[in-house]
Amino acid sequence: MEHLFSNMPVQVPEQIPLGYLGFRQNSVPPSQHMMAEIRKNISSIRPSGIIKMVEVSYLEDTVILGEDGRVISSGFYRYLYPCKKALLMVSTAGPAIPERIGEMLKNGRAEDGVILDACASACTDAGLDFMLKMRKPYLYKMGYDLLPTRFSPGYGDMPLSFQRVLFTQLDAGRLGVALTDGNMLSPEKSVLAVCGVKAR
Amino acid sequence: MTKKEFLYWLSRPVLLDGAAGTQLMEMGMPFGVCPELWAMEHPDALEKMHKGYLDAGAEAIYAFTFGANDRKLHEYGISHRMEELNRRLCEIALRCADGKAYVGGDMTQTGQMVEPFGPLSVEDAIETYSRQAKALKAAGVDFLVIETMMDIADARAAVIGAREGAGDLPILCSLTFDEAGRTLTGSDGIIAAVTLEAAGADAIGINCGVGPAAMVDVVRQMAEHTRLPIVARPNAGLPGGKVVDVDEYAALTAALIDAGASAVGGCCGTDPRHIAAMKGLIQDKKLIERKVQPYPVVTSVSRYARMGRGLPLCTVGERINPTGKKKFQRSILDGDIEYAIGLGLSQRDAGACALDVNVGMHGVDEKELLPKYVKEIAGRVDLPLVIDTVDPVAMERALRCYPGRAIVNSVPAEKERMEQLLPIVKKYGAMYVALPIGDDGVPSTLEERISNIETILNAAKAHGISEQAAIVDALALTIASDGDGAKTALSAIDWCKERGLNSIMGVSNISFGLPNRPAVNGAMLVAAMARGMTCAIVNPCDEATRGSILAANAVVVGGTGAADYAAAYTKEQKEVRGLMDAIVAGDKQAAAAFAKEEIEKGTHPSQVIDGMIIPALDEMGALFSKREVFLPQLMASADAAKLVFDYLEPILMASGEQQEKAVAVIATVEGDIHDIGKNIVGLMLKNNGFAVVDLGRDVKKERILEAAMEHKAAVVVLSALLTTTMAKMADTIELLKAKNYTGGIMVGGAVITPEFAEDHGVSYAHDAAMAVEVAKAMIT
Repeated sequence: MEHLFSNMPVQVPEQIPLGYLGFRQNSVPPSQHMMAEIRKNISSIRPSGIIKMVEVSYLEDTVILGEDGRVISSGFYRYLYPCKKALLMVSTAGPAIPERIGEMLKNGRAEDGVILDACASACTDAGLDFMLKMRKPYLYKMGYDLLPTRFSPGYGDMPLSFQRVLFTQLDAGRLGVALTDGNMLSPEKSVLAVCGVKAR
Repeated sequence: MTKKEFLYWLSRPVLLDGAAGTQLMEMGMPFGVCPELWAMEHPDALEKMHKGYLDAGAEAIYAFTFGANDRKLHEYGISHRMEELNRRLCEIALRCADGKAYVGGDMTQTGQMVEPFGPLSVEDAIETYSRQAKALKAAGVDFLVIETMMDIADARAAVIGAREGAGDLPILCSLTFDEAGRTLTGSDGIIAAVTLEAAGADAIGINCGVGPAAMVDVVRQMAEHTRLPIVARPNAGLPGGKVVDVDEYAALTAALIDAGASAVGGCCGTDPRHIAAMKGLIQDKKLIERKVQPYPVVTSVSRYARMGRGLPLCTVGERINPTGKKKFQRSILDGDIEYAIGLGLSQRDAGACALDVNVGMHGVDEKELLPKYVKEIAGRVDLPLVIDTVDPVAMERALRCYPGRAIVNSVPAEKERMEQLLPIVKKYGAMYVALPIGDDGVPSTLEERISNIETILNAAKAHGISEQAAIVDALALTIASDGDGAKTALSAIDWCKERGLNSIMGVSNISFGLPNRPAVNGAMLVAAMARGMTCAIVNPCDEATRGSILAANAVVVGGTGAADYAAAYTKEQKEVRGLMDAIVAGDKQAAAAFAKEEIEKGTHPSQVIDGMIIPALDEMGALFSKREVFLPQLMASADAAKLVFDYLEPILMASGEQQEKAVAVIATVEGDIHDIGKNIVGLMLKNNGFAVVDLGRDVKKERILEAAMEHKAAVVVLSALLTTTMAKMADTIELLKAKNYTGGIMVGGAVITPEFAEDHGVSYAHDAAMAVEVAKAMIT
């Protein structure tokens, strides 16, 4: 069971990119220009994504996602056990945004570039929440609930190489996302994640 | 049940049933099965559930056909049993109701997002919903319920599909909202009410997602924007949240009647106890008298625009139209929709309330192209659309896939065109621009124009379209060729005002052929607004037009108009007393002006750099380190400094006094593709007097060594963002040292620590400001 999403109209609170940029509640207030850029960006960036439900099994210290997605990570094992299902996800803001950020940094618009960078990160992350929210009510009616947090490769002791397992299972290349030899997602504003599905 | 009976039934408070899936689970339905198939195979359990709600006082029950559409059933490999499942599940519900309660045929989303947010085409979605609705009608249900819809585009497709599949059977469509009162795709209660009514729903509602208290505002919004009955079915236990006490739940849910709901029932976490507790609470209630807003509203997925007297002008952006625009024409021929999306976003950011979309030009098939543009623009630009074509087939296709309530531009007083277009306007609940051009062409007199408008309004009325859906085009003709063109248009606006009709005008038409067109357009705009014009087709990106609209809103409409005008032209005041101040403030214009002033008064360029720019950048670096300013301010100041450097560089070169700069070779190490942080460091080093050789990202150690040697680099700056690439960084350091590179080496990036740097005998910087300090220390 998989679902594809394009142009996800994610709703990102302004505080999220502001937080990424270092602002806190008691910080000096951001400028009008900065807020205008944030508002413009968060209402324009529309990530694409895929979400897919897979069966989960456990073998000693290994989590097996689907038929053959083997992951050895005690942190991930502790996160997921004893869920028998999991949602795998990929969200990407697409290749144009990192290119635009690069151009802005080079062409005298570095301020706008770093703001766009923070907004793109926030929107890409919000894409994961968007997909989970879409699935949640239906799963709830089916007697399932989602774990309250997500897990991504690179967290804790989960090696980055695990990105390949998720990438392959999701066939994320369909979204124009690629995985480098070093297991990094390209374009940069892309993220993979897992959310456990438990019986209520 | 007929629509009339349905509306009569909901003209008093009505009690519906509660949750189904969770009830059946308590009766033994296992996890992971197809719920509808299990229920059909366990009719005793299903009957028990239905009867439980009927005994509790429910006046209608929903057949357990929620997920029985063929796309959802396909997930269980039983899509071929769609009709059978719907028929048999309805039979059970009808048997239980036994004519004493109504039975709703229950439907929900297909599970796939619909265009423009997913891969499922609107047409395929409509067909899926249509098939299930047809099956439910054949099974004998009294009305259809489309519930737990999370996206207005999908809900709209479901209503259209249900109508096509089940004819006149009453349709209730209910959306799921979050605590903030928005659906997943960002619609509020106003957008939901207007869009679903336009799509043809007979009742609308809110269910699931939140508890009763969080539904109050959405129900109120809906009640203020539609006369349709509103149904509310809150959750008792939120997914992952607390479970509400039965009596508290019943009291809060019954109170939704006071907010404007006509019927209440339960969703997730409820059982017959909740319904029974509500029964006593709603039986003495009366429906509130609705105060529906008098203004017509058009919608996109997440925004709406209102129009009417006393409101600010509803501005329609005119730029998505290839007429006379070669670049846009080229983009259409090249299949580059991004160009049109860019035009849409820029008009939105300039303050447009809606966007006109026209792709008509020689050599394109509008029937294919217009729906495609409408879908893509609607998916990316959150403004209501005005669909502009003379091709009725293209118009219907575009309206069918547009996920909101659109405006049809336009319906002329030509018999054939009215017959083609008005049924479409009716079917999709659109508003329309009534164009007073008849079979005999453009009338010159006011009387003829009024006569043509009356013809359109009468024809629309015959199709069941209210006058509120009309926006009369006042037809501004150029005054250069028709001296009375403006007067006639203004008189038409007077007439519209008298009749209570909305009016619109392509304002810039008035000034064709005249010099200083903005002045003429501005005068026309103010005059037309003063006479009662409510909408205008304009280029909002044109500064003069934007100013005229803001000024006219302030002068003619009043209210917050003056404050809005002031806000649009008020810039943050920063006290900038010199070049240093300007760079610290990140004020590029002021920095450039002060730099020019310094040079003109004879300050040497190197003194400007060393005595003003560098100290200003140092100050920003210090403030950044103390967390008194943040990355955007640091970058704004870097941008201002860069602008001044660019100005000073040729002057310095011409003077022959440009000093040789220390070289910094920067790179993101092999295997790592992150380069935004590295680019920021590069910009900061450049501004601080370094010649930066940026090798990019994913750079092999040999290449870094080669560049360091070739450029006699004073500093090599290495960046890595991931633990996995730290090893490559270590390899690079080792190689540089082994090959006797004698300059400084600095490392940084999210995962790099001072300990890592120390272990490898190199310097560390945790941010761009520190990188500058470290690099400077290396060359002194």
